[in-house]
Amino acid sequence: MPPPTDLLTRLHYLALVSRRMGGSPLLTATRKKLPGGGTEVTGYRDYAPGDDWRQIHWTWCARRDEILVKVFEGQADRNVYLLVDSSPSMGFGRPPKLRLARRIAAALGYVSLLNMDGLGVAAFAETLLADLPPVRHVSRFQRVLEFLDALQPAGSRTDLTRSAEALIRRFPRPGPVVVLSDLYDPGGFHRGLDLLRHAGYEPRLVYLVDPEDARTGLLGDLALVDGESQAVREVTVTERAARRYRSLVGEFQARIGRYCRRHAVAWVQFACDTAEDDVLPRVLGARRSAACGFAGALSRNETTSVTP
Amino acid sequence: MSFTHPMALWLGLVAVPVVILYFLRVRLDHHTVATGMFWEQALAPERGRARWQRWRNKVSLAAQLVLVAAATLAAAGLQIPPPQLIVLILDNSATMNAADVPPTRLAAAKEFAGRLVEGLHSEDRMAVLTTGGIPAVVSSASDDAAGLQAAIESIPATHEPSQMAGALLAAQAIPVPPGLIGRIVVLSDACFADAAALSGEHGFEMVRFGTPAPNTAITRLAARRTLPDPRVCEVLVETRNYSPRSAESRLVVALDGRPIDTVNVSMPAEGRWQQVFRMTTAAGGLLAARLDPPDAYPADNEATVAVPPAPTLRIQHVEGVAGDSQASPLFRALAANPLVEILDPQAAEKPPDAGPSVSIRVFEGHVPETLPPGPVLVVDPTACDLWRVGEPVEDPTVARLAEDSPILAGVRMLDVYLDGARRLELASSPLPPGETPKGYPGVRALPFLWTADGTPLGYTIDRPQGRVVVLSGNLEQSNLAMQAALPILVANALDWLSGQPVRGTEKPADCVGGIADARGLDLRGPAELGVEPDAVIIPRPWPPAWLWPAGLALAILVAEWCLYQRRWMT
Repeated sequence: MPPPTDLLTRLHYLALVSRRMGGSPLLTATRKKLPGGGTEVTGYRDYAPGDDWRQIHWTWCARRDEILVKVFEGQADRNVYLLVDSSPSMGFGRPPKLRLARRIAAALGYVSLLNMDGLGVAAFAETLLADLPPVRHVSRFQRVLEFLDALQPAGSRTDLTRSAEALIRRFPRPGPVVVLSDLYDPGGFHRGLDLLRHAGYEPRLVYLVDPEDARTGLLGDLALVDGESQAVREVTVTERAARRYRSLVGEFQARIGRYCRRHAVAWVQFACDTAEDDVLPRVLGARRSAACGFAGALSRNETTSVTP
Repeated sequence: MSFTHPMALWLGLVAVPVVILYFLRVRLDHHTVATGMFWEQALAPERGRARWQRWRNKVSLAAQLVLVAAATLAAAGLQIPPPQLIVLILDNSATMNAADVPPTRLAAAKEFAGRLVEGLHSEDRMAVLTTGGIPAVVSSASDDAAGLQAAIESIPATHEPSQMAGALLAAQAIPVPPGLIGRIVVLSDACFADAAALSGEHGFEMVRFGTPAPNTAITRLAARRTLPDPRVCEVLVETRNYSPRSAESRLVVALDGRPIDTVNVSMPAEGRWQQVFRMTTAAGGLLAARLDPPDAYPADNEATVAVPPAPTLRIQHVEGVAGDSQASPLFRALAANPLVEILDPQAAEKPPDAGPSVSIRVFEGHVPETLPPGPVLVVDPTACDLWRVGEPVEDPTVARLAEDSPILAGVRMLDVYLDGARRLELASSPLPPGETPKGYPGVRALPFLWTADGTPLGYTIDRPQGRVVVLSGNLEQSNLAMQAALPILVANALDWLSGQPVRGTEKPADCVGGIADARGLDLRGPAELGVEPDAVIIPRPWPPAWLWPAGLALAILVAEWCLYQRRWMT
C-alpha cells in the first residue's frame, strides 16, 4: 500500500526546508577519514576485521607482506541506520513511545533516502529483533514504512549493548546510527553507545520519555509488574521511596544529557505526548531553532540536544 | 473491672469488618510500570526493613483490633477497679477528741472521710457507722455523695469509749450487693479494747489518726450530802495517769466558779489518785474539777457535776393557845431541823397562791373541825372530823411501843410521861386492820404508843387526803420536851408525813460527774496498727478508667494514619 500522499508531501516539504536550513542535526555527516569510500586517498592503516576488502592496498601487501587498507577523505556514500527500540517499555505512554519513535524514524528515513544515503532500519530489544537491509532511494521508502508499521513492542528487556553488537555484525559498514529509545537498559545505555562509537559508527540519540514515569503516584503496598520482564515484585512504596524514585529518574535523564555532551553525541528528547507537528520539524531541522543545533529548549517536555 | 454501659460492648463486632477489610487489603493491586530498574534502586534501601515489612500488615491489623477493643472499652465505660461497697466506721469515741491532730482527731477523721466520699466512683457505695458508745448506722449504703457528706458532718463527738467490736460486727452484717466488693475502712486512733486482736480477726483497713500520747484524766467526780447534816457535801475526786511515768498536776475544785479547794496531785505511773473534799452548801450548784495543765486530751481534764439543793420542808405551825408559840418544845424541835422551814402561822388563812406552798401543817393544842388535806402533825389534839377527844388518861406514861413504826425509829419513848393526854376515839376505835371508818373511805389508823392499860397515845393515820400523825399530851408538861428523843421523833414524823427522807438516808444519792467510763481515756493504742491516710485514699476518678482506652484508641488511630494509612492519600 503506497504511503499516504499527505504524509509524503509533508515529509518532502520538511526535507526541502531542512536541506535549505542545513539539514537535520541527527543526520549531519561527519567529514573524516574513512577506510573506504571518499574521493581522495589520504593514507593507509592496518587492516581491521570488517574493513572492505576492496580497499586493501594489494600492492603494498605484495611488497611488504602487510595488509593495509586505503584511507579516503571526504564525503562518501554512506549508510544511515535507524535503531528503533521496540522493547515492551516502548509500549507505555499515552500515546505509546513506540508510535512517536516510528514517526520520527519514518521522517529521518525519508530525508536520508532523499539525500541518497543508504538506509538500514533495525528494531531491538534485548537484541536485534528485526532489520531492514539498507536501501538507497526514496522509491524504497514504502518498504521502510511497512517495516516501521510492523513494529510492535516485543522482547523481554532492553539491552542496547547486545543490540549494538548485533547491529555491527549485521551492518558492518559504519555510518550514523540514530537510536530511538527510552534507554531503559538495566545494564546501562552508555555501553551500547560506546560500542557504536568505538566501532566507528556515529550514534545519535532520540530519547523518548513518558512523563508519567517521572510523576509516579504509586504509594503503599503494591505488586509492581516490570513491563519488560513481566517480573512481579511485592513492594511497599513509602513517601521516601517515591521521592527517591523521582530523583533517580531525574538523575537518569540528566546523565543522558551529560553523556551526549561529553561525547558529542547529537541527541534530542521528546515526551511521548508531544504533538507530531511539533516533533517532525524539529527532528528534521526545519525550524530555525532546530537548525541552530537544538541549542535551546524545544518545548516544555523536551530538553536540549547537542550537535557534534 | 466493670462497665457503666455494658451494651456498648456490642461495638466490638466492628472487629469483624476490620478483619474482612484486612484480608481484602492484603490482596495487592498490580501496577505495571515501563521498567522496574528505577524501582529496584529506589527500594534498595528499604530491603533492610524487609523482615519488618512482612509483619507490617499483621501489626497494622493488630493495631486496628486494639483500636476497636480500646474504643469499645471506652464506650462501655470501663471501670478499674470494680465498684466497691465501703463500710466506713468512724470512731467518735472519747479519745478521738484529743487535740494532738489539730483541731481534733475526730475532725481530721471526718475531713478524711469527706475525701473518701469525693473519691467514690459513680458505681461505688458507702455506708457510715459510728463506734462511740453504742455503734450506730449514720448512713446506710448509698452513692449520694452529698448525703454522705452531710451524714459525716453530723457525727458528734462523744465521751464514750469505743465499742469497735460491735461496730465491726454491724459492718460485716451489711449485705454487699452483687458485683460490688465489700471493704471495711476504719477511721480511728486505735485506742479501743483489743485493737490488735480485732485487726487480726476482721481484716479491716484502718486509717490511724493521732499518735500514742500520755494522758491524765479526772475519772470520777461525785458529791453526796452527809447523813447527819444534809447541808454538808462530800466530794470524791479520782484522777488517773495513763502513762508509764509519774505525773504531777494541780487539781482545782470549784462550786459555781467559787474555788473550794486546790491541791497538788501526784499520780504514779499507770496509777490513780483519790481524795474526798467536804463542803457545806444547802443551795447546791455546779461543782467543777479541773486538772492543770491540760494535756493532749483536754476534755478529760475537766469534770462537772450538779449538786442539787438540800431538801427542805415548809412547815406551818399553828398553836391553839395564845402565847409565844416559838417557845413551845415542838416549835424548837422543828426549828432545830436544818431542813425545815417554818412558815408564817397566818399563811393558812391566805389564798393558796398568796405565798409559798405548805408541805406539812402542824397543829398543837388546837385542831380545826375538819382536818385540812395534806400531811398533818397534831400534838395535844382537840376534836375534829377524824377523831373525838375523850376523858383524860389516868396514867399517861408510855408503856408499850410499836417497834415497827417509822415514827419511833431511833427513839426511846418508854417511861415518857405525856401529861394532859386524852383518850382519842377514832371513827371506829380501835380500827381493825383494813377496815375503813364510815365517812372516810381509805383511812387506815395505827397506834404506835400505848399506856400501861393499853390506851393508845398516838396514831399514824393514812388517809387519801394525806397522812396524819397525832400525839396526845401536852409537851410543855411532859418530860419528853426535856429528852433528846423529841427532835428525832419530830423528824421521824416529818419523814413519814412527807414520804421522803428529810435528814438523809443511809445511802444518800451520789451526784457523779466527769467521765463515766475511764476505759476510753487511754490515748496509747497499739502503735503498729493502722496506716497513714494516704495509704488507703481512693484516687479521685480522674481521669476515669474509660479515658485510658479512649486515649489509646486515639493514639493508635493517629499513629496508624500517619505511618500507614496516610500513604494511600495522593
